[in-house]
Amino acid sequence: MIGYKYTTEQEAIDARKQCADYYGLPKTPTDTTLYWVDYNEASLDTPIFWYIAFDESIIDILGEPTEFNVTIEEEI
Amino acid sequence: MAPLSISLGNFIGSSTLHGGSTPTEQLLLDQYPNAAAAYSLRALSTATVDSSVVRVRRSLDNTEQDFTATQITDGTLETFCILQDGFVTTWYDQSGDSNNSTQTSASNQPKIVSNGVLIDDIVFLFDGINDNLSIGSFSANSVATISFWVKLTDTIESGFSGNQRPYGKAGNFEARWNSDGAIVFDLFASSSLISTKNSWLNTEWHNITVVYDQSTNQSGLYVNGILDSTGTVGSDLGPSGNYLIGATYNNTGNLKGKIGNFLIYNRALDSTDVLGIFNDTKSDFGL
Repeated sequence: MIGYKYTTEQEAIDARKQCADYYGLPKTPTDTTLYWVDYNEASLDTPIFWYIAFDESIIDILGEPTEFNVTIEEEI
Repeated sequence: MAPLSISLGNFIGSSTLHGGSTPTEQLLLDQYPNAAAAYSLRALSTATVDSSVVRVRRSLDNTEQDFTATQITDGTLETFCILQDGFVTTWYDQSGDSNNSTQTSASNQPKIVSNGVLIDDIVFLFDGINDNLSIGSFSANSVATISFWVKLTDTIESGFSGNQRPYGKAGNFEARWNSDGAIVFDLFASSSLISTKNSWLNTEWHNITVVYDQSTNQSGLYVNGILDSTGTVGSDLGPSGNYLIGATYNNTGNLKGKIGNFLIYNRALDSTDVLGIFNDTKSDFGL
């Protein structure tokens, strides 16, 4: 996974807000779109962490991404 | 055609209203009523024919607007997008229960218009990276039918990867494509996995339906209206939690493909109804 990794959920929430503010979201109070990107929880990893997947549209906001592993549920 | 008499006898519903005697003006939910949630880019009932079916954000300036089924096909949506892209923020529930599916993050919204051109008038595109729509917190009902149309973007040759989920809820209550091409319905308990007998790994449209009932401990998996596999249910359907269309609950296992006509009933449709829904909608999907 290439993206932005956070050790607390609050850091991920703050990063999400930075991106939303940059793009002026939400555009109106009644809009569905509140954020530009969202964060995910790596709930199967220990310790749990939070991350935002890389997108070129946020590199100017969050900087250079890093590469890290996220454990996902595999097929049985 | 395969026989439909494989014993799911307890799934027999009270009536079937589709077929030759059904007035042509009846729409899908008029014929198969009382859905718990119903999403489509077509109007699904005469009661909602003038209602919005989807809300779209245009990439030009992030303006959002609602569209009826007619406005999707008559050029209104394309005009709104002004030669740029349009993304689905809300897929409105046509069941009457207001279980709208939404995506609040721009980068996770499935695309419906590309460079001012409608991708498809019946479905939209999930990118296989992070696109999904959330129905919100969801508790699996003890008896239910989940039916949808789905089409993969990739084959093995073009880069298909397994674990793609048309939908998913916390606790492995989900549907997924395994890497071998089998379609699996997971009803939480490992004993209640249902898997198709054959690989369905291709880029054709499939109508997939699972029917389960805890009271009878029976489940059935249908492909294109025909019963493919049966299984059991288990006593636990997992915890309540976020229910996503196009991914599993934590936005992994994202589907790379298209989804259309996603229906949830809190009752077990019988095999005649499942086949009827397939037959009544297949022409929209080129079958």
